[in-house]
Amino acid sequence: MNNNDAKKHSLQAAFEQVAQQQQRLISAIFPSAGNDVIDEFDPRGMAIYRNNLLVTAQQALAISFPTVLTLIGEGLFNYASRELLILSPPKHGDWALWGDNFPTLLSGLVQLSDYPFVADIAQVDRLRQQSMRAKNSVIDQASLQLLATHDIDEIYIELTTSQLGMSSNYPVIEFWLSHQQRVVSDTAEELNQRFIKQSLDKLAQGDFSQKVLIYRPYFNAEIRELSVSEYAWLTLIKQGVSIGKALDIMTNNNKLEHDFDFAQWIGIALEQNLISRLKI
Amino acid sequence: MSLQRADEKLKSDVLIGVGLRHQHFTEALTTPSNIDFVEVHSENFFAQGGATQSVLAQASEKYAISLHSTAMGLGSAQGVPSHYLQKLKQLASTCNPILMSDHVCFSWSQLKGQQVHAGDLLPLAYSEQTLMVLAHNIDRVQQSLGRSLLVENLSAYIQYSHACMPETEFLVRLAELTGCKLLVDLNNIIVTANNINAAQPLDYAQQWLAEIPTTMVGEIHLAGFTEVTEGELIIDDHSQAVSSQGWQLYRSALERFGKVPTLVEWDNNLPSWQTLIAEADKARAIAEQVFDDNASSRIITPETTLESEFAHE
Repeated sequence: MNNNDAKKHSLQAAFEQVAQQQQRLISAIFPSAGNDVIDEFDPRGMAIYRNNLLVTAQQALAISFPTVLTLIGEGLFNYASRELLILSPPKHGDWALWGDNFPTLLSGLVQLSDYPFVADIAQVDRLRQQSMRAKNSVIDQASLQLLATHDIDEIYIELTTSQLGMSSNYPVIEFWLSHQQRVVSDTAEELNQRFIKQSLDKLAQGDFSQKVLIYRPYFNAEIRELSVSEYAWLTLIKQGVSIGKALDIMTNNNKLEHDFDFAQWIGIALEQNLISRLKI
Repeated sequence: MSLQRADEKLKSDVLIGVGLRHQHFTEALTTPSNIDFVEVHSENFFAQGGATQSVLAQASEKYAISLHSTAMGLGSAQGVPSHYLQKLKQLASTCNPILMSDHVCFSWSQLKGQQVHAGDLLPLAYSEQTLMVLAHNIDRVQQSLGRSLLVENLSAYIQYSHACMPETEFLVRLAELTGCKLLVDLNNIIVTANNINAAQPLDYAQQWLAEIPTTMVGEIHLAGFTEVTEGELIIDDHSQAVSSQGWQLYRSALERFGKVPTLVEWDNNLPSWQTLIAEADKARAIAEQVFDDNASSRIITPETTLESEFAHE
């Protein structure tokens, strides 16, 4: 073995040995059915690391899922945070990216079995965070000229990465809005009650379904309901169908109400920063 | 922003900065102050867009920026993932930091066969093997960033029985191996001294400083901690003003290491922006006292400490 090989071998051995030590410590810190006890360490120190992890996880999720925290309260929220650490430990080195599986975890919690809409509210929170971290985008104004120079069958729409959609069997927009009043006042309470009444009215409808759009006109993510036809339109555009072709598909779809107006939509889309650019 | 433009904002020989946290964004951007730089936690600005990017752009117009990472996990045998490094590199290219730093710790590992990030600064065993791992990772990060890093001593709550060298020897050898500089966190030394039941914590800390070569320090951190009752471990919570022991140690550190950039950290139980600035003013006053009597003191600037010394193999 030459000198370089020996060095490489020694480095590899060091990595393997240190990796084992570090994995042992990690296993003893992360919550599980039963934490390993490492005798060499001061139990007071281990308690600090375990507590730091739990508290940081709770704080991170509270930032990403503020509406869920308001809905279910701190006790259950902290319990769910711990469960998420077990089910899906962080792996990005950025707490803001942790929590993709939180909605799924919430949907399986027995404590929330009577409140199945909470998981969808979590999804709204998650998409809003995702939208607010997405790349800043300003419409490429010049690309709009394509509408004057090319057939719409040849023109495609590139949507901004900050606009995101979802579908729910619950009136999540009304539920979500009813938990955004941070200041308790008569007006806020009245507003909440109005949103709750709207939620209940909608829930009373059979086969209720709501299509939701999260979008970001500037820095703050907004939320609004999509009509069935606009939802279908956005789905086609995301699939890479040209403007003309998408309009044809929608016209020929008997299940859609023919209420989609492209000229009106593009005005709204520009106002709400849904479009990044047009392209051919 | 160019480095030259950043330097034009630097106001004194000893660069004095404060940690910039979310709650202070508005005041920091709108209130006049005489601080030289602000330190931000890199990961808080990893988003591709949104309000935080705008805040950082505005902050870097007003102050020089120090990027302090808390999740790189430089001592991880798992290595520092490329996706993390890519984001850090991208961030550095947008704000042109005068300093870049992280800790002597590990964060990445495996849990049940899956990659995991500890979400914390976990302590390293001061052994030959760990030194090799840490030096290898720092070398890779420095090569990737094209600049030298500052690495910070940790306050640890557990001690490894198989550690085979003192923390100071570990740090000195690390700096020699990699060309990195040390970010000496004075509060961390005091916290560790207390937690290992050093008879005289301040003496322990003074001795710790004496074991570090005078040219090896590129930044000093100052912070405070919550007092605990006997038998409890102190947590490095950055929740208080700098302690009187911290200020004493700061004076000693300046006397030993010269005009080193200094940062006041305050992360929890945040005071008003003005109170934080007042802490920075105290640091400046001490620096002026120390160096008024010593006109020939070494002046450490970000260029001399970092850019010109990126010469490791």
